[in-house]
Amino acid sequence: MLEVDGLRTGYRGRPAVFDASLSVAEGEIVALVGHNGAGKTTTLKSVVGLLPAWQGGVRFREEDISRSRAADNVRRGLCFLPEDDFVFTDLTVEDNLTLARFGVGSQGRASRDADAVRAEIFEVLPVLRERSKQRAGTLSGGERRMLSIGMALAAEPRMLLVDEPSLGLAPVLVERVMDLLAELVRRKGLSVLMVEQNVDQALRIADRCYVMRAGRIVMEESAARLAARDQWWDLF
Amino acid sequence: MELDAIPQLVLDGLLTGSFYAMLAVSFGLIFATTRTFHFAHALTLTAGAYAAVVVGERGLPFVLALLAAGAVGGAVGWLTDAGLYRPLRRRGALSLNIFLASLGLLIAGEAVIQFVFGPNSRPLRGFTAAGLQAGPIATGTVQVVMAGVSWGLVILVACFLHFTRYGLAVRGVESNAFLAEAFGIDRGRIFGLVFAIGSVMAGVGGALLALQDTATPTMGLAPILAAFIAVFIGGIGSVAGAVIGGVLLGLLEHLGGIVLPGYLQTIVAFVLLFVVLLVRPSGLVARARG
Repeated sequence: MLEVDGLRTGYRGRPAVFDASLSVAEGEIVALVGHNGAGKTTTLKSVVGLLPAWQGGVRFREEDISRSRAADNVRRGLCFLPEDDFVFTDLTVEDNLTLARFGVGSQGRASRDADAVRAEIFEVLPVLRERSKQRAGTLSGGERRMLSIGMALAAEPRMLLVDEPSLGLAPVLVERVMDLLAELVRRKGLSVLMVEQNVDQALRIADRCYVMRAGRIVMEESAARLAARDQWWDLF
Repeated sequence: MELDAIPQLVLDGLLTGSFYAMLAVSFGLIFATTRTFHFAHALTLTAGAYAAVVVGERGLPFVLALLAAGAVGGAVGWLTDAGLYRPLRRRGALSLNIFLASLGLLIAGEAVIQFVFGPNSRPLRGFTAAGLQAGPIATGTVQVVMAGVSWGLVILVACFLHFTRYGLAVRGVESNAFLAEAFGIDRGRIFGLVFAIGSVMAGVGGALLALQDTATPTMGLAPILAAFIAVFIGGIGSVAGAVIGGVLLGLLEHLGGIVLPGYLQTIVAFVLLFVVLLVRPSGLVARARG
């Protein structure tokens, strides 16, 4: 589904990711873990086209998207959920869900009826139906995260790139969000590349895991094997 | 104190305020969406005024003059974004750099207009002005046309923002440009769109000003300053705020005449701005950011 080969990128001429290579298969959840500043978010941004790749290649469904803009990649079926500011706080829940479908229905992708998609989102996330007329900025942290997942569903992606889905959430909500992501993969056959600091939770739902350190991928391991280690902090 | 004059001053204030409201919506739409302090909006207004004057001098109907002003204004605004601001943004220019570039464009543009059309004022022909009287209050058809066209444009823009797909995209970029891009909205295209829409309004505004008075190469700055003040009074990012700011500014400018001599009336806008910035810095119709 996704292949990243020798990616090098950064900000304002300063490299932050060096020769990163990873892959995500169809229907697979892959976690990208590491300390703050390891280059995880930068990698996601570059894959989705929000940050240009300086070197290396990114292929999505056999197509080279290394130089593609984010808008085009969204139309191809990539959906990026940032770690913060992940909803449009000035817009209502309903408008957020509508806007999330802006890129749907082009690049040869068949799109489903918007009402049917909306009904399905409300079935999975009933809180969004109750809050549909409410401004997203007035939702609680957990509700906002639910809305961002609802927006991802509205975008009908083939692959989700999720940045720190547990950030700022109470432990019980973290578990709920992770379970929801896992359920979506099962129901929709989505692929997920997830950056997460909460390694326990990430390993709980992931199939494979990459460890990043100082801008480089230093380890690839199955999530089950990594979770079985006595400690994994020494890897960071 | 001339209390008998109050109804007349209120009417004049509402008519002027309607025009300010339209300019405030045009300036505010660009500023709130792109975070660009588009000082050269004044040049767009002047270009629109001269476009209308040129059409009027050829004996064509006034409506065509308005359309030409809007078209030229929209083109000037879109080109300013595409040719000046976008390359600067791509190079990571700071807001101050962009502001200075905008100021420079305004000064250079006014010089070009003066070179092409001369320094003298030019009237807009093709509209026969008449007086209107209702009891003790009086106005003119020019002022009524100015207010009517202004409200028409404000309502059109409000409908665009709230009832169309691209209007929602504009509000999305305004709320969170990064997230909008992550969901496939081309930020650059949306910026170009709001520059075009805001500039059509400014161009038409220039034609209306030329109708009320005349077109001069430096006519743009004062009304755009008023628009900018109205935006900050009303609250950035809100059409309702810009409208309220504009109308309030128009009313206070005229009602200030009751207690202030004519030469002091221009300070009313700034006094109002200072008061609002001190008491409610986010503007009168500010949204609580989540």
